[in-house]
Amino acid sequence: MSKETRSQKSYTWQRFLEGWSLFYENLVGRIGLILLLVFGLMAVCSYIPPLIDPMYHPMTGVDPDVFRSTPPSAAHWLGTDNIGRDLLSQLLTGARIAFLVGISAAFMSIVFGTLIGMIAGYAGRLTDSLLMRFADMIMVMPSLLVVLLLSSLFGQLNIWIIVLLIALFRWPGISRVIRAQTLSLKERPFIDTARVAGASNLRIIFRHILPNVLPMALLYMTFRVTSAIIVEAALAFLGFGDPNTVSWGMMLQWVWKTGHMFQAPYWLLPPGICISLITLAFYMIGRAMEEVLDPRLRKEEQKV
Amino acid sequence: MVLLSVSNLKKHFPVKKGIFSSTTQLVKAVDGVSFQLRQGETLGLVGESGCGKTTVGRAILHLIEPTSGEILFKGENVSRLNTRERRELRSSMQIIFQDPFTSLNPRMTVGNIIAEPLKNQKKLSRSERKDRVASLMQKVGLRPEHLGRYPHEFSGGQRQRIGIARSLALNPLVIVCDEPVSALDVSIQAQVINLLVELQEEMRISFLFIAHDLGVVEHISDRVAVMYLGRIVEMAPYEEIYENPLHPYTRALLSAAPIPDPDLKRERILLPGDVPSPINPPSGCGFRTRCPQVKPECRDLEMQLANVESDHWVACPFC
Repeated sequence: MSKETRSQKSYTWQRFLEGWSLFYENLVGRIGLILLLVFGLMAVCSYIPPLIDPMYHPMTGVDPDVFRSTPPSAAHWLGTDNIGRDLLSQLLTGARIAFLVGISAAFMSIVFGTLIGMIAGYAGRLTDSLLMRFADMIMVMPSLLVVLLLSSLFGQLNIWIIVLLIALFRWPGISRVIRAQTLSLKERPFIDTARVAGASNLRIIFRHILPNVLPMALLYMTFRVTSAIIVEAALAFLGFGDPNTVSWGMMLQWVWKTGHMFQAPYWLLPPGICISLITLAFYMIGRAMEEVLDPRLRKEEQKV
Repeated sequence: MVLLSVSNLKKHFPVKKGIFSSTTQLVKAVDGVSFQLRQGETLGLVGESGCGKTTVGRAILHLIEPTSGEILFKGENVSRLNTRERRELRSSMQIIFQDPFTSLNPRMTVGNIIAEPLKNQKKLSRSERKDRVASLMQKVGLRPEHLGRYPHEFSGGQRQRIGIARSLALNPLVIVCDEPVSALDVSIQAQVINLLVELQEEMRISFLFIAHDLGVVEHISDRVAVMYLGRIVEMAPYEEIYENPLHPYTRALLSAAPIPDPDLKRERILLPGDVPSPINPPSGCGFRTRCPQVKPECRDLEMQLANVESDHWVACPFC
């Protein structure tokens, strides 16, 4: 028995390695992955500065000798903001927040989108029509505007509420893709055999359809991470972010609000560049994954 | 003992058109099929593509809801059962599909595929289930060590064996074989057919064997039913069908089957024209547009199976 499970594991492992080698051959994917590793490192390192000295705390740490924004120096590698907070430490924390917001919002929208897409595709008829019209409605809603309205109604929003709102506005695209896949899957004979084997509808959806749409869902998750990070940054920049978190969008907002937009490039540029690069990294990884999952997108010599 | 009795089964598919999807026409895929399946026997259901033979098989298992007609399994009307009872019934009726490449979930291991009916229908412990799966694999000629592999690692014939193992998992009484070998190489076809014959002798299963290949059907069937345009035109024990075919369609079908002997010549009956559309079938006898022995009365005939000899049924009063 143990021998069999081992060969089974090694088989899954082997398939993973195959996909990995295809992914790694792809230059775009490799660049994306390296960028992402750099940001990951930044996020991990964000815990270090406050340990060195409390004045490096990104939110509350203030250098007692600094009274205005200063350019990069030995004590503050990226300079400080106008009240003497360390910009490098803020930038590092921003990476952590970007991952947190991006991945959790994308994960939630994937969960909603996949569930709704599978149910709509599998149930068909009225359920399908209702769910898809509902998805259309949300898809055409200007999400940023609605979030702005909500936050002006309820005051400052907590970062988790923002994550949830982003997820709630970003599932319809995924659900359309998953529904289309489900429509084709449910006509395959193996679904009929499952039904003859006595499987309930729930079991068919979760045991037979879900594993077959999961790769597609994960692919869309990487694209959703991109849009979630951008929405969060836009909200924060417009002043509707969570005031208790240091995100790149918040940093940009502070530059803007304190009038340092054109006076302190060392303050303005790093968060701006980071936002662009991290979204680019996720996008590139998504594109490379797409090629691994969809053999039609591969170049001639890569076709297996 | 009659296990499965199908009477006047009909399945009409609506053709939807226009903005309001109003049903304008009906495809009469199955239009009044009746037959009985006895315990331990094999009934071959033959006919060209589009004649409704697969639809009959799927309707029996309630994968599609029949438009009308009765399906009695051990005297119980299948259509009247509720969802739970129907699921229980499915443990005694199984299906083997034509295409071994799409009928197995590509993301499940073979062990899980074969164990699926057991998980749904029986309360077995993990180890009991494992033993059962191993013995099933052995029974169909697969190596039990391979239970952790995925379907794409097997050849077509082996995949079909996986499908057979799964259908046997619950010791069914009836298995609908929907062209189980037509997607396989000829050499593999024989192996799978022989496996089915062995299993039938061992487990006393009844097969409804759907095929378009008369050679395959001849090898496995006790009785043969020939379908044309949604109806059975002739039904008889297989020696009768092959030696004494009565219906002109059966004769034409038999004359079209290749004989693996170059010296043997026989008269070929060529039917003129195409199969009429099941949306708008001809009145009276459905075969009259192509029948070599057509008579003016055929226009008003009811296509009704009539007993001509013992157990030999024909839907043509002029035969």
